[in-house]
Amino acid sequence: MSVTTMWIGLGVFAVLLVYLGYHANRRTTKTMEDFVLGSRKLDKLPAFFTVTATLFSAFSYFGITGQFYTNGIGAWIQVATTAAVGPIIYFAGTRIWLVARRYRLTNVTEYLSDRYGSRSVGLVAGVIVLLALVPYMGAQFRGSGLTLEAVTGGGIPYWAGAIFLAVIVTLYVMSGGFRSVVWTDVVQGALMYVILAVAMVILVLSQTGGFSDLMDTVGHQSELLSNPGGGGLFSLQYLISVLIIFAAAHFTMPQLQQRWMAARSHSTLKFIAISLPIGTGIVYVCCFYIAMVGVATRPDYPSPEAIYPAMIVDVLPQWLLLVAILAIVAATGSTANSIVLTLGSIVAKEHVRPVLARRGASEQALDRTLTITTRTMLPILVGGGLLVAFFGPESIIGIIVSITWPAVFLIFPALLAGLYWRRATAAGAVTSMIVAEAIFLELDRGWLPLPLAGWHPAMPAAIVGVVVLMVVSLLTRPPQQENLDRHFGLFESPTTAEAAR
Amino acid sequence: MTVSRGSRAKAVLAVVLGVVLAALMVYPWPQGESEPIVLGIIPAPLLLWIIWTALFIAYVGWIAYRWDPYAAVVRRAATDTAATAGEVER
Repeated sequence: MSVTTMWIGLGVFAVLLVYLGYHANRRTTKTMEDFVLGSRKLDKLPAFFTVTATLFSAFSYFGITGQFYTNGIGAWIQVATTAAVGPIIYFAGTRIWLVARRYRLTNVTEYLSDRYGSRSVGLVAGVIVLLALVPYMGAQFRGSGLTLEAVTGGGIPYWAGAIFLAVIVTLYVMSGGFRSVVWTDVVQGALMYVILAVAMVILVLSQTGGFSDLMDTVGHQSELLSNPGGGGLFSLQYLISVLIIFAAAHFTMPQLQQRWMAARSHSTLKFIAISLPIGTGIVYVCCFYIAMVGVATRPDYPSPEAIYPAMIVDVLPQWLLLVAILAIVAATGSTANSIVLTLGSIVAKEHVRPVLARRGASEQALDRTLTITTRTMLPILVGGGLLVAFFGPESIIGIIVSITWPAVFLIFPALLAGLYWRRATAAGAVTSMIVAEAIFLELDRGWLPLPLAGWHPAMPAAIVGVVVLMVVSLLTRPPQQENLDRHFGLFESPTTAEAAR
Repeated sequence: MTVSRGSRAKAVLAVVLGVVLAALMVYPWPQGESEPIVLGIIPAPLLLWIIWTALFIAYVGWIAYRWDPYAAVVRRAATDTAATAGEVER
């Protein structure tokens, strides 16, 4: 594709997104709750698109197709994780939705600080989240850079593609906050579903003569159509690890937590729990057949994560190719936008708010300043993501499986204990997170040479984290009754609450 | 939450069903053996996992819409909040 055509397409796309951001800006008030959560008025259909668009990113096009191509059908386990998070969204999500609404909390770290009555819990969780999500944001910029470089034959260099996405995301999130993120997610999410389905049909029909012919060809490579798959990746231990880690981490992810908190009603929350695996399933079925076309027509492709863009460049008509490339860039943007907004709000609430509060700022002035701080933080965080894109790990799925999801997963025990266990203390939560992350890091890097027998290193780390949480909580002074009543009283009938005291 | 006997039975059923479904998901297929292609277009493991996903969605639907153990809590919160200032919609 010519560089000029691509730049024109990108320009139109950028104008559309920035316009949506501007339009959202006109409806956004200056309060933190409105800028970060859209005043908690997220309806069902936008919720479906924004949750799936946030979850599926460069990962959908590159990581999933690459994993199906290399390791086979076991990659479907990720759909199972989005189904398994359904009950967690219903039970724990309802609790956090109610608490956040009652006490006007805007992100998960703020919830943790409030529940445990200690800033240190939110601070530790905030630092973990920052270290986990900035690389993930970097992976999105990397996806955009790689795609544009590949389809233009290097005409748009990698750095230009990465910076393009970073600038556009910063512009529209800064202008419209949560509303612009949701509106652009609806456009980007819809584009993702349509283009993936169309590309799948065209690739299968034009490259292999139809689904039956494709399966005839691929069927001979039985290892890709059964477990443990290519490279023996999908062992029982791996599947169980991924099911637990990803389901818990999907729920804990701060950018998704903001969507649970922003739900207009309980009904919206229930709808998210049901619809998330449906959206995921559609994406994965498309990616499976696209990857199998790659297996049939381009065996031993040197860069499996680039198999999708490599195939569509050869097959799709120019106008559709342009739309397909924009859909990839859109998917990367729809994840990056949510992350950057969430991280901005976490930095503002956890690091800036206490300083301002100490200076005696009024609530109104505090709220206005925090909203401005969140906006100001956006380009700084995006800059961090760009650094990862230029100097970080090369594999997108590597970032997701090795860093982001496991690191966030290890916050889950403290979050769940906060929601369900009155005796859980701040000391227990902080120690649990720090110890679990340290063990995970040591196991993952191989500094602690313990045999894992196929289990993901985050699994033993989480078990230790849970034990530490329980032991330290029981050894330290119980949390203040008043604070516990603020939180747990919401879920208990007056008689049960009395008995619990 | 108030836990009645009927609600406790449903909670036990939900846990058992959840564990059984999760076990069915990760149950390992015969390793490295050739899998049948259903109707010539879809590998048997993929079809079974799609069916599994549909069953799990039905399971979550049963929890959220038929059992709905948080319905009373949400209703109470809506009433409480309406009595103060904001609104919690059902």
